[in-house]
Amino acid sequence: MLVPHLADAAKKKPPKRAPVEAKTPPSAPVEPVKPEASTAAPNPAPTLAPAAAPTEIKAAPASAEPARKKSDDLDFDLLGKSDKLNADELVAAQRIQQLAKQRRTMLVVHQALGFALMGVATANVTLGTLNYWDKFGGGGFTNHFELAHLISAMTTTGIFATNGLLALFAPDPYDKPGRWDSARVHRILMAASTVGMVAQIALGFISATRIGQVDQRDFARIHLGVGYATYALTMAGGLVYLF
Amino acid sequence: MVSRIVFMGFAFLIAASAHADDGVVYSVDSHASKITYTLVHKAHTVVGVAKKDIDGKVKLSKGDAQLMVRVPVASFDSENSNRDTHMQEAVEASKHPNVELKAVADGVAPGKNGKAVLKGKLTFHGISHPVEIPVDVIWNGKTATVVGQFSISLDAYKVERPSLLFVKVEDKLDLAVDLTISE
Repeated sequence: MLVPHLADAAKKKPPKRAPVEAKTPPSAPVEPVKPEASTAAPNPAPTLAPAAAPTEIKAAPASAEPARKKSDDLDFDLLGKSDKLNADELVAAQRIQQLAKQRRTMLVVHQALGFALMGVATANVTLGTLNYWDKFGGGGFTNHFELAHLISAMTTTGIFATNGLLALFAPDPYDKPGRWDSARVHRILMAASTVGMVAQIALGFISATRIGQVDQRDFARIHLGVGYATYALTMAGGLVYLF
Repeated sequence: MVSRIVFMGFAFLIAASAHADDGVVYSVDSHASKITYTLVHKAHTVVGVAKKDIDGKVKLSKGDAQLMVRVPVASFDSENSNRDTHMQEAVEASKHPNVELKAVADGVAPGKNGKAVLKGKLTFHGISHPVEIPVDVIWNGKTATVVGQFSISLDAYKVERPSLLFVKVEDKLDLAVDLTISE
């Protein structure tokens, strides 16, 4: 049986304490959860200061933050853990990433050579036009542009072939559905340009060896026309990626 | 006999109240939902949409909501297959195939239209960061749509920003969620 004054004290409800987890002032925003500790408790439990007197119960300060709501807790799982990769899958994933990195390197070089190709092809078409004009357009047949055109043509062909091989042999580790997009249009244009480049090499040699023949001019004219068409296809194939 | 009936009655009440405490779980309708990303490059703006394989659940309980959504990065379609594979390379999709959102919100209840704020974490490229997403919740019977937008930093998730014509895309990635949930 309780002593009367202790019984009265037992009947009284103790004043509400500030919860020990409260750390931040009420005006502060909720502390963001750090990535590496996303499932850990944001605030470690502080150590309790020794009580001043066993019977002294201090009232909670008015500015104390209310307890962190249980509803803010992200410790739940509605979907089940996503399947972690097993050892074999991890090895396969690493291999895919290696191939992806190789692909990226090859395609970066492909882009750089593509820009170089556009520049060299422009120079080549210009020199080829001047060469045709010099021989068949009233330029006096001085042959001033013949060697320059030959060098620019070989350079254009070399860069074109290298670039094409880079694209053909770049690994493709991720599944890719076939569809009509800028990549497909680029490939079609460059395939047509390849046909034009091969024709140009043949026509160039033929018209160069037909000196003095009546049909040299005809071959040169065809070479000029196919050259313009090939140039247009090459430029369009590069610019399509801007759209 | 009477005591058995009384006992079963109590058991039923306890079970019913326990179920009420557990809340109601809604599933994301993958065919009616979509998640969209927008990425800006100097040459053009890239928009990729995931309209399938969205796996998600929302649990409503006592005015609070718990949400979890997971979608494979390979589901995002920007209508350019080269660009999509480049995106998968950049986020190392073979090692981190999914992007996952886990969040909670207050003041969400069945039939209650209005705004809410999803507070949680987004896990992308194997890295988690806190996010806050203001959403609109609109109920239509036992179905609801949850629509919201937010932005993240690719650098914060350690994603190597893709480049085109030697120009990198901007760091900011805008995400828009349009989820339809049903019981």
